[in-house]
Amino acid sequence: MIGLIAKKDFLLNLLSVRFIIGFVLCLVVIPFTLVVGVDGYLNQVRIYQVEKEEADSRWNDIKEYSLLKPTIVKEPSALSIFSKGINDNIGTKKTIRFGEVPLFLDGKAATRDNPFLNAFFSIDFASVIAILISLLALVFSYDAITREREDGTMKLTFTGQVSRITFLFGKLLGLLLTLLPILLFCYLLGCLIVVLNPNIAFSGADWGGIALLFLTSVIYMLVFILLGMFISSLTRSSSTSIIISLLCWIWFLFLIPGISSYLAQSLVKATLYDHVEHSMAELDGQYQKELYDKRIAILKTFENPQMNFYNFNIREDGAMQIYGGAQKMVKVMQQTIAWSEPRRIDYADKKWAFQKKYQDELRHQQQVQQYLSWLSPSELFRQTTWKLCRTDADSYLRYMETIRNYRETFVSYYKEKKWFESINYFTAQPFDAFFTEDQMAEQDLFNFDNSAWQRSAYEPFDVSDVPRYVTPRFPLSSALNAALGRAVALLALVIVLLLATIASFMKYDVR
Amino acid sequence: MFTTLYIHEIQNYLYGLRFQVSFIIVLLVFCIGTVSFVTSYNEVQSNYARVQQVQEETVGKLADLNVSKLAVHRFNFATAPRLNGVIADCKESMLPNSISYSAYNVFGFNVRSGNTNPLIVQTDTLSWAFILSMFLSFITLLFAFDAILGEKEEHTLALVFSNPVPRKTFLLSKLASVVTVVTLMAVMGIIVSLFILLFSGKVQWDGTFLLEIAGFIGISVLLITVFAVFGLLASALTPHSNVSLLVSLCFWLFSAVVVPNTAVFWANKLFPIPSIDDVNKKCVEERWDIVRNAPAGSQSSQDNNPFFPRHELRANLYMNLMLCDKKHYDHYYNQMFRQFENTRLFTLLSPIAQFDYMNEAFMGGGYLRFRTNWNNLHSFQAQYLQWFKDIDAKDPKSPHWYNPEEDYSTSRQKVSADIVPQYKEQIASFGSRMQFIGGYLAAMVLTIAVLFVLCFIKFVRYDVR
Repeated sequence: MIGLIAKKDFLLNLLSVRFIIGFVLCLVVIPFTLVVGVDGYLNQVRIYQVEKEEADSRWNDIKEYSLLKPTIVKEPSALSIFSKGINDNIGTKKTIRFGEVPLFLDGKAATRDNPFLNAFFSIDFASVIAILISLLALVFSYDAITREREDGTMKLTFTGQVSRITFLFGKLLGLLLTLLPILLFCYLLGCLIVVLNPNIAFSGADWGGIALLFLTSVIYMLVFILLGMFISSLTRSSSTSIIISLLCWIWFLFLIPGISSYLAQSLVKATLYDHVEHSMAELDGQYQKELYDKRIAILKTFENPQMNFYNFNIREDGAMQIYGGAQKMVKVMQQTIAWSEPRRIDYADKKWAFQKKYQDELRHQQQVQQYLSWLSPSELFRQTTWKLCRTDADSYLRYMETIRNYRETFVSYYKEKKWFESINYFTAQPFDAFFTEDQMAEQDLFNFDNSAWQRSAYEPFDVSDVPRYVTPRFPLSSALNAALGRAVALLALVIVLLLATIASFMKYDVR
Repeated sequence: MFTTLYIHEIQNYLYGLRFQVSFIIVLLVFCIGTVSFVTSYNEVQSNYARVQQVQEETVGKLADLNVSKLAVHRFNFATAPRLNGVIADCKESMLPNSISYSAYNVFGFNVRSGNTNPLIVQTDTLSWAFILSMFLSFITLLFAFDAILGEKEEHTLALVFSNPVPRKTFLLSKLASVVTVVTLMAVMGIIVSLFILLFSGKVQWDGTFLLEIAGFIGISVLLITVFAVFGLLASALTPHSNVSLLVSLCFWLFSAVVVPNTAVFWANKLFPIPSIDDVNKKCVEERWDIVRNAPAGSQSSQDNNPFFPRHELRANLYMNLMLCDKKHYDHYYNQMFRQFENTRLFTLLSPIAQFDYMNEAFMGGGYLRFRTNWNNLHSFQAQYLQWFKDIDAKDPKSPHWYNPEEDYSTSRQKVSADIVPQYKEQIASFGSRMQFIGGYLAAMVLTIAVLFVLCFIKFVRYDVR
């Protein structure tokens, strides 16, 4: 009997104008969104390749240890085509420094060269699914019960052997049969666009992710079908039912996201990064002062020699190149750096305390935002897709954690190898090629022509031993674990709505 | 006759469920939006004051060192928070809102980070304009989609026309009643919001603010009219109210979701600009050429002797480098402006975008505010440079070789911080605001006119049975 009712409903829906309009809407919007998504992804890949190449080329021509600054470029994830989460807010790369613990990625956020275009948001596949599928589900289900009453067919149905439960499940099945093909079609279209593009390579785990996305979407669709039926079972007329359904829809889809993020950002205060930077600058000032004192002390032990070099080049984060000059000076530099670099790393840890606090505040704010947005099933759905596509805030923070760990490894490698104490930290020139005291007295440093004082005379050092950053590969199961809580919450919502619909329909006046 | 119909319609709507439910939602959202605004406004204000204070301290410190150090220092001008942000935020926190300049050049702009949480997906702020554009536009369609069909389905339409009611009057009364009811909701929301602002005591009331509110309501009525007319059109075009509803929803999705959210894609496809990497690369190449071709000794310096002859070469070199940057980046910035403006023109397809741009112009915010500041800063910079040159000209210890980066070869006199010219943002007058509105207003009125004419033509021949 359930089958019969479902079949009748399915055929009836199939011929209706709303099915055609809904289908055409999906047919137009979905491919377009995906084309936009693919376009954005390919652009990200292009930027990734350029930056990666640059980072790699910098790695190869290093002659002094201090110049080795590994740059980590974040590989864009292909699944972000489907759900991009916070991808638009985060940068693309991070250079490892001794003087700073990496908090967030730098580089241009998203793929926008023109910052004015920030005024426009862009939408991804998962959001479109969230908007369209919920709308269609409501548009089909709002009159599932009221229409039959209005047409007078419900009385007829219940004069026979049909129980109310059977009727309800028949309706549900009919709606599912109508909407599932549309959803399936959206996903197939999406996969087709991805498969047909030769520049996108999806791994097995990615396909698994899409399958899970599809499952989540089915649950999400059920939520709205049942919501529509529930509203329908509460109201007497279709026109009331549709108004309430649509008000729910706009509340869930468009008002809750705005409310939750605006409210969270004004309720939970986070320090402005300007203030964090200010505190960090103060620590930098302290360090500079210590460094100054230390230098004076060291220079004193060497009887205050003149600081003259043939080629002296200093860059950010303690990178320096020194060629030509007195051996005494090299020793001064060596002693200074052996003290200053580990000290700078200590200071970076102190600065990290401020950054960490800032990060925790942001995280707290973000969590409050999430809790607030759980008032809406569509936000729950979108968060699940972010988790599945690993574009959520937690994945990003975890990623940054791996970068910080790498920095630790990198630092301990330097310490282990005693590179901070080596003169190779700032020069490739052998110690003997610097002037002795006597030579210094005899020769004019700046008019001395010595090929050993040219940086170009030396070969880059072997970096094959230095630890490199390895992009962590998270298995599908970890994404599934992360998404499971929210998916289960959606499922629970389905069950609650189902029970509520049954309860309310049992008391429904069919006349 | 019009009045009778109009009053009857309004009564119908006011007693209806959809009015009651949406009214509650409107009030709720207005409350949440205003409370959030009030709680964050003070903090934003004090933070801005702090930034200003740091800037003033820097001016004082540099003026006390020497005037050249002051002239070459890169200051950042950041836009102040607007009180009328509660009306329309104009996405100012996401748009470039800080401009760096010295006496020699206006260098560029950036988006001040730290105002937004990167872990949260960006959404619109809950300003009045957002509530109007996303929620009340939708409500308007919900009110209008069955204005004609509803009566037809209940067979009251034929009854109405059995009386001497002209179709024009009927249509106009329908339109007027929908617009009135939705405007009423908006105005109630605004009043509640104003009460909250008033009781928070954090808000300065003045004539400008009241005028802005009045203007906002005027613009809102236009937006509501567009959607109401579309709802009527859908109602007149389609055979059933649920089809009419779907058509209306498609229109809403198109205006509120599809057009604004695909703008970036269209910008890149229709109005492409080179990538910043290419511009940087070209610029670096040219800089290298300049450095290579500079006369020998261009980079030498002697700290204690301004008249050291090589300082002139050095000044020339740095000036050329700056001009090279300026040439490349100013060109690129203009391309950015054009791309953005064209994209905005493209998005005028959506009445919601028309509404947003009109608000932006009327509140004196957003992109237009940025552009005004950008242009004004350029004229300010010219005056600032002239001021510096005048001081420099009077200093016998200066060789007057202008170097935009350093103080080697220009005056090293101290100046009093009070006489240093400082850029102040001017609040745009209503005259200049109206100037920007014209085009958008025309677009919106045109949209309304076209939709209404279509609706009228269709309805004149409408089968009322």
